[in-house]
Amino acid sequence: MGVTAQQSDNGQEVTVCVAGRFDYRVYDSFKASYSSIAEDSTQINVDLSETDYMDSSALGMLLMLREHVGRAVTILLLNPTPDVMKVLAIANFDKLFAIKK
Amino acid sequence: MQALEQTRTRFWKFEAEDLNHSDLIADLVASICYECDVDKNRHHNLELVIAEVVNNAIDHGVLGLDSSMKKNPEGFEEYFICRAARLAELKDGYVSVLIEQLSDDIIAISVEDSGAGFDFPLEIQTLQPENLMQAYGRGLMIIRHLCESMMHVGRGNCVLLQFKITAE
Repeated sequence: MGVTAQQSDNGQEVTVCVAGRFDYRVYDSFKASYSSIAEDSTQINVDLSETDYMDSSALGMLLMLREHVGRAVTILLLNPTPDVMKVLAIANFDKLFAIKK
Repeated sequence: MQALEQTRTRFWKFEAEDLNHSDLIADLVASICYECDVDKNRHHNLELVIAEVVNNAIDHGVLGLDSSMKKNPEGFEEYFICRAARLAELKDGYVSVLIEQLSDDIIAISVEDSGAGFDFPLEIQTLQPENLMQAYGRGLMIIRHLCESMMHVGRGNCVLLQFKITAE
């Protein structure tokens, strides 16, 4: 459960995995997961394959991540579960972020 | 003499000290599911609706947070930090939830908060696709999408929803 982050060997790609609930309660750990990433990182993957719940506070955190890293970094949402995909679709986030299933 | 039909209602009131409890939403949803015999396939949607509506009541009603704060750069971050700080120091205020079973299929959910209430401008009620990055409105969008109906009443501090509890 919770948020974990892993950097690729070349340091350019970071994968943040949110297991369990993605809401207000993981704010601190979600923020910490990307705050210390290398400056030359070009891609952040948010792995949602183990996320079983997500609400608008998580949508806000994804926008916060985007604000933080700027346009030069690609954000990819990976393998959202059906319940999570439904929330992303309702909020039209499939038009804002690249989603890879 | 015509007998008055007894309506099944359930009522919860969360005081200031309850609102910072991290399991508030999950516990409330579990109670509603049990009391109202909510179909298992509807549990997730109900949890989303309750989370959005109760968090709105806490954020904008009880804590008096302004969504427009999220407009500024780094605004989301400020908003989250401010929310946590105000919640931790909260002394007054409440959120109450009333559930009424309207039929075998539908429950009415009324959520009221102790806040001053506010007018809901149209741009908050309907988030347009061209404003997807807009700071607010996503919670209401989720509620509207998952409920049969939504209405703001009183001084803007009470929201009435109808939610389908039987399988699609």
